[in-house]
Amino acid sequence: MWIGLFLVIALFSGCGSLKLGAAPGVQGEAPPSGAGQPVQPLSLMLSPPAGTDRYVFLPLTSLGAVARIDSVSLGVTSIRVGLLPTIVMTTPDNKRAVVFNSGSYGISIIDVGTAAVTTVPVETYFNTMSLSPDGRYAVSFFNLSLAGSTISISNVRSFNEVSVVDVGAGTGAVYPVGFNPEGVLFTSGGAKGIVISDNELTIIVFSTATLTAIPLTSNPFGTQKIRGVVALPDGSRCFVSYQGLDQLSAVNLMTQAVTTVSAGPGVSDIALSADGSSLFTVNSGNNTVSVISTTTLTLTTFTPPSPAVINRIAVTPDGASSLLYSSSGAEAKITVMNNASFTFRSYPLIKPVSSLAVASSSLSAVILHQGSASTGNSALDKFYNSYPTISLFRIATGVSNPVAVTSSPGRLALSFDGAYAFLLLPSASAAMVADMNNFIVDGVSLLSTPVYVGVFSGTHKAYLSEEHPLGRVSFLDGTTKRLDTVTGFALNPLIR
Amino acid sequence: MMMGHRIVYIVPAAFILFLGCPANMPPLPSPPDTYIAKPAGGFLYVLVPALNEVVRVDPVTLAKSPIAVGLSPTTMDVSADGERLIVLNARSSSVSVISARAGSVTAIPVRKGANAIAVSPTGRYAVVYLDLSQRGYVPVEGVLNLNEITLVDTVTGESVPIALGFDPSIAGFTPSEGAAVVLSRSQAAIVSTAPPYTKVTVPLVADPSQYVTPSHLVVTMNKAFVSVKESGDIYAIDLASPSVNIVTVGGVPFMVESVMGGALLLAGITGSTRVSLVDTNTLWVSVVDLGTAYDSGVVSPDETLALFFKRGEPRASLLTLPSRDVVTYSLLKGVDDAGITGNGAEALILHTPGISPTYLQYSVSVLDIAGRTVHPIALQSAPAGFTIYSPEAAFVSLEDAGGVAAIDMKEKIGSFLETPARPRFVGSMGAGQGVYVVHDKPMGRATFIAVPSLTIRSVDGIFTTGIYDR
Repeated sequence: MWIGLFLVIALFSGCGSLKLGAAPGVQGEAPPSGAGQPVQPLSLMLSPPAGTDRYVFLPLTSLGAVARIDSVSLGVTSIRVGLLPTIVMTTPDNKRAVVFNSGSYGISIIDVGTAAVTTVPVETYFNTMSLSPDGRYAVSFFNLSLAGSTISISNVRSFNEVSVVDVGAGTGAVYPVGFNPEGVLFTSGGAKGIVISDNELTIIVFSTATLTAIPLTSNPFGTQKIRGVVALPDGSRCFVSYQGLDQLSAVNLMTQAVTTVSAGPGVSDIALSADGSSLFTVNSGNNTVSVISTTTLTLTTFTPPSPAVINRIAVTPDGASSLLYSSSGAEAKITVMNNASFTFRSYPLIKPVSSLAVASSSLSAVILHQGSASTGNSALDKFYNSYPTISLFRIATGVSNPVAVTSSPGRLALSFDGAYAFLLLPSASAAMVADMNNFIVDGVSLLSTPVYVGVFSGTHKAYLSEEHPLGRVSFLDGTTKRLDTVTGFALNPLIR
Repeated sequence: MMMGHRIVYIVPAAFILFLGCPANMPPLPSPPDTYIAKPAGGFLYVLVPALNEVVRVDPVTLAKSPIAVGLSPTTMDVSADGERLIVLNARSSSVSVISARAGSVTAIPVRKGANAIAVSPTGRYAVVYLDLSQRGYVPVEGVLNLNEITLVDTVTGESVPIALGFDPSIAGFTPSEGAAVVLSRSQAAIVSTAPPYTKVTVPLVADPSQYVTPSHLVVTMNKAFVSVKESGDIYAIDLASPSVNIVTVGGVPFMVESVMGGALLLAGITGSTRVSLVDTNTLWVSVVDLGTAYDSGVVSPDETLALFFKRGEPRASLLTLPSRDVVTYSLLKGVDDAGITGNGAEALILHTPGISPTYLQYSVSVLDIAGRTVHPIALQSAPAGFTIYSPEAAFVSLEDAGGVAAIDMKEKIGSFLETPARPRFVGSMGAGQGVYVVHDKPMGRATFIAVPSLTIRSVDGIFTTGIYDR
């Protein structure tokens, strides 16, 4: 069951795509701890932290504060923000942290260096926030799918508005959008925001505050649900796929013209090529890949020569290849597609794929497995069937290094240069560090259960947010494997 | 384990009988059935609660000088430099500050109800508070605040009441004396010792439905380290820009000590073979496996060695802190207490008495640390207390034998010194000033032992000084 629709902009897929709903396992995709988790004596709700090149910001939701922790000195600074801060993000220039306060309905902009705070109010009852890739604009709105089963209102309530906050200027504005916004997609550079509502796109040009509504159907309350949206880097066009439909909408963001493109059968995933010239659709109905020219909208379909069951695609950041696989556990195989020649090479894996993440270097990927091993080697199968398994996969050669881990993998993060991968092993209170160049892995014991992981930009160091009633975060250096842990930062806002 | 300055509790029963409580006075905060003896400024100071005075004994002339303090003095503390004594007078709600060398006294009022005191290194400042964990009846006259301390400046005579967390139980000062750290239930307070006496309170829990009880406090130049009962967490509180970081030491510590000049924090862990060393700057925790689980430990005066033992167990492990080397000694008898010489060359171990009357029924051992050898010495009776006077000499009180064992730590041999009465406690008067012995005598008797001559001189009637010797 989905816990809401998780809006994910995966680190490795750039800013031009937005999937509504995603498989658990990769950073940011897995739901936060829920049923089955031990009850903590203090309701210090863990929310995802955000890092800069040195600091990590951790929301202290119940205390109305954010902890800024220096990964070098381990110094802690408590920063008062609004009520119930639940989302924190950092700008790519590492100068600001942007916090959404779900209890006081505001966005707090924190100067990373001085810890000075500017808070901009947003519309009442908003419950989520997105940040443009350049960190200049934050968009907040009410996402019905993130709310509980009962929504109480006071006076009036609508579901067609967003607040846009200029992070640099510290100002905000409210804009009307389509009914029931579920996500925001930013064009490359962050000049435009595409608000995705139930059956409508609203284009916001931030610099001019210009809005353009593009209805996708005539019935805004219809059952046709958007599955994913991708936008060309230049912001000229976007493509919308729908749940259960093989048709895609090609939306010209300049003329608002909507053209229907048929793919399939069984379109299960879409992705843009790195240069934006092609749109790939995975057709799970016949295990083919369709390539749509984003300029002419012409479609060509390719079939992997060796039979493969596929329903997912991941394009490497350099655009040279795509990884095709089945996330349903259908087979222990991965197929690499050459995005220029559209030739395919399939490689056996130890187990079927659950999800994967491609390193920014485009050289390798981390594959999380599911299901059972059936290599034919009984000893090998017996061993790997005794443990959860991941694989480190070298894209150019198809060489994989299956790694058995003691407990089910949690969240995953890759260093910005793709040199190291950090995988949480929550049930084991441990983490795995993988050198993505030589595929050597190390296990690191932690003091408590890790929940979130992220990486400091420009480093090989990760921050791991862990369960602890008074707050705990660890810093793990991928190169040296040094682990520093800071505990108790939830007490700092209470110092008087 | 305490060496040097040790509180001595002896029952001067006679005074309870004929002095009693004045009329119209509430009950005393604790029965006046103990006295405290401490060396300072070359003298031995003995607290006589029943007479509301302190008697100063000159170990050279054996002269006794009564010094009047406030009503119902309950505790007496000495500054680390030995220059000041501070006496807490429960009934008159004051402290008496005694200049150890001159014997002059100054009274400073404090908030009522206090029964505990913490003194800064030079004795300039004191924190006076009501420690509810101490034994004894706590009287309530009108209103008794359970969340306040008095900060006393013994130089200026200023007395500043400060409200902080409920049930203050442990207090300490930074080495510079710029701030006092007071631990209450679930809270630490950092109090500036200079006007305007700013206070920062640091919570130890975030959930008000829970509480923790502090158990250890170590204060360094810029941090305070607080452990709490039943927890393996040590709170590192930054004193300059107050913030908290919790380090986990792998179990409930039975000891938390500053070692290596404050560079490290040593935590012995209950039920574990391992001890944790916390870098007080980086808070990096390293672990040393002793191979055996212990429940006690002592640190050498230079803070480079730590000796661990479990009471009653015939084994001890010596940890050399700079190198992290561990040497485990197998002993003939169980360990009751231990100490290390100032130069780290030897250690003295007091053994638990044996059941069967053999030659080692009562004994001590000298550890030759460099030579890694153990030298047992048989005693006539059970060792009751000890002091390591110098790298060459240690003294062990033998109550039932009626004397003191003088241990030559270099030669690993002992001599018996018969004293005029049963020794209750033995302590050092300070470097080059000999050793004092407090006896279990109702009129108050002390013996002074010259070192290295080991000549003995005694003085009696310390408790009666205020009555008969005026």
